[in-house]
Amino acid sequence: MIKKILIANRGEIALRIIRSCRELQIQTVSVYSDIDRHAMHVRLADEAYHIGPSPSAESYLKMDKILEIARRSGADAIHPGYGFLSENAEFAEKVKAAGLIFIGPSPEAIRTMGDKITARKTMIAAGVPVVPGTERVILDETDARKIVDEVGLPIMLKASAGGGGKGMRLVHTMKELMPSLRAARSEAETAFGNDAVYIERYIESPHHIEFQILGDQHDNYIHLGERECSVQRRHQKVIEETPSVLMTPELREEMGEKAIAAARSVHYEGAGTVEFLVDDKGNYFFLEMNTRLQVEHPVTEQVVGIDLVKEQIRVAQGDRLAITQKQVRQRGHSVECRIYAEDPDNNFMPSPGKVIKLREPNGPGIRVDGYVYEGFEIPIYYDPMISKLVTYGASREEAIQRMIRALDEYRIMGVKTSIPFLKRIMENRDFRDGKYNTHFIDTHQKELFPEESSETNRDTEELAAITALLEYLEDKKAKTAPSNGMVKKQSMWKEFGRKKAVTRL
Amino acid sequence: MTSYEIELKDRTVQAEVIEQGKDTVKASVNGKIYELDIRKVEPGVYSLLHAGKSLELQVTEGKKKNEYTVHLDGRNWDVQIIDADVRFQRNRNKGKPENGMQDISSPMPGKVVKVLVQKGDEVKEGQTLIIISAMKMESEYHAPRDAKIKDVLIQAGDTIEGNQPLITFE
Repeated sequence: MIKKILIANRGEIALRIIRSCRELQIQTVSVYSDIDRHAMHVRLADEAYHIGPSPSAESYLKMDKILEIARRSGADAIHPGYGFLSENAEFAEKVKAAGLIFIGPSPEAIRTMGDKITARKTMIAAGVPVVPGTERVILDETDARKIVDEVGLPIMLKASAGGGGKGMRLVHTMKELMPSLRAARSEAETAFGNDAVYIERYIESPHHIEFQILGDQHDNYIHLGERECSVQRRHQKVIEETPSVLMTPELREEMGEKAIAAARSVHYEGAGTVEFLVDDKGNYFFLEMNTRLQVEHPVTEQVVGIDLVKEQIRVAQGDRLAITQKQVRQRGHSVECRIYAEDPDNNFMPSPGKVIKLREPNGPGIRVDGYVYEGFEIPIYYDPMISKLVTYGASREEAIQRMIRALDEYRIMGVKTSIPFLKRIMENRDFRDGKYNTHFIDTHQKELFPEESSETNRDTEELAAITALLEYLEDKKAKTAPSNGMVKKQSMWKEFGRKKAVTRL
Repeated sequence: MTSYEIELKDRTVQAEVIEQGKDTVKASVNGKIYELDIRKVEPGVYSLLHAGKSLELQVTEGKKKNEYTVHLDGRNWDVQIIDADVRFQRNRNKGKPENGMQDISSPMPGKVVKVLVQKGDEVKEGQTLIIISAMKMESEYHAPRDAKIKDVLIQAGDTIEGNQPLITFE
């Protein structure tokens, strides 16, 4: 039985894990960098230990330091969250070697799925369809030309060690091939220290649909349905929902079986995600497998009623999966918006800083997985995500309408956020009709980044101007208020006492 | 009552508080009259009733002098009151580039991913000059106006500090 878990992460995901641990009555150990002493994951954990300077390379990525704290605190397991060390096979190995439980799959599974070319080969062997292309690294430029002749244009160049859109290039014509290949290689080299690149056929109007799977140590596997993640900006997910409007029960069953086959091929333990590209005709192709908890896991939790973090922990301590595939039911609809500290009106420039005011949305069907509080300074060193706003509704329409209501209620002052941009997407006709693919943001630039000239906008702006003017006049009055050069620093109680004495209350 | 010059996103208006009661305000913006029932319900938070509509506005101090950021309808509006102090400051800085004409500097520490211009280049307003990676995101920095590049102070791969000058204009 796991009694104490060290969480090797920070931010909202560290809180998310702490919450499930508490419900399971498991003790929690947080680690923190210099700047995170005040962070919520430190405040909410049972124990917390300093691990180093603020940059993640010197703190949250320090394997030996984390292991040392795990030993010192007497933790029996480590949960890596997502990002940082979550898909690092070497770390998973070290945790095991230290006699601790790594909450996640085996180092072999991480390694197989982490290398995109090995993953492709494994999927082909397991009978899972993959995007037409090569299974091997491009040798040189002549080789690249030969492969493109076979696969056909357009093609996608991808980094073998890749992820997150780095080292990726779309090539429409033979003329673009060489410059793109060079750029993809150099980007892959900088991002991953490995310039291996391979070629895939490019799927037109693709949907990004992924399947949540769970596996235990006894060779049982289930899938918990799909998540539609096609609303992306620069290959980064912005909005996720489940179910996908593209899905039919038949296609779900078929793709779910393939996702399970993918998991089985690497004896997958715990929670994982199999990503597919799906075209408008319902043809689907394996993209990659993420061997960790996903950022967008809450939408699945909302519709299937399963706490994925608890399942991860149970599987890690050797328990069998609590339910079978037949018992999995998707109920209603769930949507997630990622709220980032960035300025959508200024090219999504990151906007770190102090949160001056915070009011989170509330009420029926709302879930906020966040970590900031009033007075908290969002650090410059890590991902700018503030929270994930998740809504649940009986129907897609209700979940979306509820999201608009929740975005309206959400107040974050002090930093710029992506909230206005997210609201425009929720209100977009094509999005509401479910007519969108991964090109959605690019093809809807006009509606999503509107010119400011409408009459209502002018009125709103002028009301803002009047309110600011009133605040300014009040500030000015406070500054020039008569005082004998001293700053008034009396306590309210003193003032009350004095008033009382004068007016004889 | 005094009339104030107020700078909004891309226009400047003339605003005046005509009458201020305990909970009401009559104000004009460029001659348009607004009659509001307005209460400060929390520090920095105003509840407004305007033409039957209930609105909530949050006001925080902005980056520049006399600048306020107002949150309304899910959006942030930057508003600057141009009073004698601001005018004085601007006069003193005359000749120096200011207000959207300044050189490009980094708002936060990060890494230079790409430099797209060279010393002496003529650039157009909005043209991408450099790409910086910070907070795990890549951001493009654009030219604030048509200008000639005086100097490029960094190169790709450099690690940069917050507020470090990156590109200067002539």
